[in-house]
Amino acid sequence: MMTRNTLYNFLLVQKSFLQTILLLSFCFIQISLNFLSFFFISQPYVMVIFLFLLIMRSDNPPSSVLLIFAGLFYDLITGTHLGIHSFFFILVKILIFFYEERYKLSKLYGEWILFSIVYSLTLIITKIIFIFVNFTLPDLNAISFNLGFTLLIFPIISFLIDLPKYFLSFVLK
Amino acid sequence: MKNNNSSKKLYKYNKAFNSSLVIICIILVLIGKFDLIIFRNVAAFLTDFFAPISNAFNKPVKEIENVIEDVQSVTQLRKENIRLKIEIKRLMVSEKNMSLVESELIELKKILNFIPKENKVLATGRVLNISGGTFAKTMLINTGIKEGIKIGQPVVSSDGLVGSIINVGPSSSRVLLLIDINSMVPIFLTQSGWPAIAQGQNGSFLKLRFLSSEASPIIGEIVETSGHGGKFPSGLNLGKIIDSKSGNYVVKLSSNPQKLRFVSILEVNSEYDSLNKSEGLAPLQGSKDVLNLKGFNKIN
Repeated sequence: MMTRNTLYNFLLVQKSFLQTILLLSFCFIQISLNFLSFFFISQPYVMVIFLFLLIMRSDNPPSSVLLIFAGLFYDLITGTHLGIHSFFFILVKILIFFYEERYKLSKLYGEWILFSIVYSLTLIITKIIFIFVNFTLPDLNAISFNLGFTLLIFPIISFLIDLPKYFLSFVLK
Repeated sequence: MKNNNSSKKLYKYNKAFNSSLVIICIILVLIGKFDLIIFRNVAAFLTDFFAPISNAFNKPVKEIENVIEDVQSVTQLRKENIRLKIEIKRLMVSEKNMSLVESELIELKKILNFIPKENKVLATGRVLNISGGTFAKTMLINTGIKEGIKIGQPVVSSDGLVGSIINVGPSSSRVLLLIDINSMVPIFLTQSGWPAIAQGQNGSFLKLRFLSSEASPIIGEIVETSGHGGKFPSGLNLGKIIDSKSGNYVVKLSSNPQKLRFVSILEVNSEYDSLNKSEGLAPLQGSKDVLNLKGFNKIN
């Protein structure tokens, strides 16, 4: 007989499995964006937008260990410096919880402001570590292009994800 | 009060947990710096295993890009037609000049007994994906150990040098693009005649490093590989010099990595003698048996 505890654990494993698949899909979507020529300098981090929305809107946000592994996976398949994206994803999660719990930013100013602060801070901190590790200054144009474009497309992606919800609420009225 | 104490404890526990995660990630970054072979092998296996999935994800995006290109070309058809007519006239004039120069070159080569060195193409592969984030600029191709690909081999397209192989799997390889921050290529300015190192910046241009202070590059001059060090054969086209807004000279690549569909891998002679290859340029220093401890011992 299945106890309540077993059922809970089973659901938790199922959710983690789904989140793993989602995170892997985000990685592949991010990689595929590089074929679009209008992102000629640098590609926006669509993956981070998806991750942000997953953490914000899910009852059980992806665990930190899962984020570390997702980051490692992304680093290995893209040939990026090992650990950079693990650090990036963990920092996104920590900063979201920090600003949400302490300042309630998304409730006061909306998700876009929270994302802008979290993403900008994460990118700056990770870039500083990247500079220390490589001893070379990267192209600032590419970084600002990436930052600007990612912040600009956040509301569009957020709206597209919410679109079925809006549609259903409009139809069921 | 009890509630307050437990929440404080939880807060402290969370803080410690988050700090430990950040420390773990920083340790991972430092481990990554050592470039361990085990991680290379894992990366090669993963890229090989996930290559078909990645390819499936790329297909719709490639189609979107094709549609965008088609729409762009249709809207600019008239403009393009005029430009092409002018280009044909210009090319016809330069073709006449070129044939004269070519015959002269053949004659001079005969006089000098010059033996041309041709770059042997080892394999040609299809581009599976390009990672163009702000941290790395690499490309995955569908040729690997089976085709005889080895780490370090130069990768070229019809426009010129693209990068070099950094990781090889059984049926796929990863190419470090020239625009990556870790990529450095010994180059030669064809008109002004100065050697330098072209380094990627994770952006769209290459920075010129170790260029002599006496050098005055000409805007638009062609940049080629010098062959120094033996990693890249000499004479491969890289791009041309352009003037950046900050007053520094940068190299604009002739090949656009985003538009690449097929690339070729060149075979490099493994028994390369770096001292003899750099003909016409300053010879590179050979390795010395004595340990150079600057300021403590004297090496003659």
